Amino acid sequence: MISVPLKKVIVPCLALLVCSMVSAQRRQKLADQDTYEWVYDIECYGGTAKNGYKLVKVWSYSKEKSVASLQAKKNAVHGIIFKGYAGEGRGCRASRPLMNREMTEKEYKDFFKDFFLDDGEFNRFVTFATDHKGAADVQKLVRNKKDKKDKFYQYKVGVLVSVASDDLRKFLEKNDIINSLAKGF
Amino acid sequence: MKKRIFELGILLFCLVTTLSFGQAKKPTLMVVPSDAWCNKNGYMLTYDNQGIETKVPDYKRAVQENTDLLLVISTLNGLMAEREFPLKNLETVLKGLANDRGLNAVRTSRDTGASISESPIDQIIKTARADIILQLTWTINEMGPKKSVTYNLQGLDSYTYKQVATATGTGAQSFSTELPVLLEEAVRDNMEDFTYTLQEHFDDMFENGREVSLQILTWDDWDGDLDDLSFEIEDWLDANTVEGRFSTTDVTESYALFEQVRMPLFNERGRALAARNFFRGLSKMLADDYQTPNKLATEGLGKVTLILGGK
Repeated sequence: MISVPLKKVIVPCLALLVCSMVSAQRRQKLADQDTYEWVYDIECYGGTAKNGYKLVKVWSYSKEKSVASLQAKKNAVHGIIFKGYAGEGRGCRASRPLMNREMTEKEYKDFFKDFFLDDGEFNRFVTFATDHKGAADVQKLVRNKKDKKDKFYQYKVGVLVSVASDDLRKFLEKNDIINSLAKGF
Repeated sequence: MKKRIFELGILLFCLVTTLSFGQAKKPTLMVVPSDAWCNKNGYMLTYDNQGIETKVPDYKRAVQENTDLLLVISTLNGLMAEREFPLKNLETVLKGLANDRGLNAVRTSRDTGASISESPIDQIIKTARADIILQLTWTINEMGPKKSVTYNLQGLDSYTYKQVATATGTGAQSFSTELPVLLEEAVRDNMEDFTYTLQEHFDDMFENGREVSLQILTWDDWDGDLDDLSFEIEDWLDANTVEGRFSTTDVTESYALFEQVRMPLFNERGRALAARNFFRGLSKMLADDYQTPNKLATEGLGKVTLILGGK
């Protein structure tokens, strides 16, 4: 039998916990939506020692720093597949996106849904190149809300990420997401 | 019920269509050092061609003596094999040809003692060839103690003479890195660009047909006029090429050249076509409908020569 004063403590605590979980989930969902809508920046960060890997710096946006830095892995893989990057400085060469065919909206949606799940296959091809919490570049941005009356703060977090681009390409070719050079022959 | 049967019918049709169309004829690729590279590095043969000193690249000596060349070819072969597109290896092809020549020279028939028949044309044809030649050039740039490599890889179609893929670039300057490492880096750094442009070429081929060329020659005892016949040939090409795409480059009474001929990759039965299968229809039409017997000579996947007036 829980006493009344204890009830007064537990219930608000539980409510707070549920609220914070829902809020975290919502932020993660928003971050996923940003990746889906290509809201991130990707740039080359020099050559890597290993062949078949690409070292990139990914800038992600979120109201919460931790969400933005964790989203960097998804954004990096998405960037290598769909965006590519220009190469300049640090001995960088431009990289073309791996996607070499037109994808329908449905194909893109289906692919995104499974491959980019939090514990999805994309994790196999990406690692943080440094301690993402310590080494991340963080910028605090002031944004206007849609009605342009109010302002809100957002973090722009840059994280170094290494992507196994050759393995990623082979995986996508095997699953018929992109065309292999020998397709049709 | 009717709807289900209709759906099943469509599914069956799709399945049959997919199965009936096989794979297109796969072009062969081979890496060959460019004439400029061979000349710069002293791998040329000089011979007297009717009073004119002529230089030709000496591939055999280049692959036997230059280990940097072998490294670049081997790296390229490896990267292309990784992409399910293994290349013909120049050194092995040269050795194979020499081996075949030796064997053919001593082969005799057990019944009659006859030796292998080889026309002068056969001898010319039996050289190191591929449908797409990957022509390789690199130069070493030195600025004081710094070194860098300028790398140029061109994919050249053997039949249309067009450049179908390319990758060029100069790597970062280095004080201490050894040349083989710089070269390997150059190959790897440029591979993405090269395969991208090659893929674009293949995509274009699957969409618009294979680009081939047709040369028409005449035996000197033929008494017809190719100028007149060329209009019938153009009609056939118009009807049989993909969207009627071809260019009439030259027509005289004894010679014609049709370029940029876009032939389909498959015939109506779904069989993969090479240029010789495709132009067989034209050869038959000229023989049957215009009483012009002809000889069809072929060069790889993409070039055909029809010689009018006899076999």
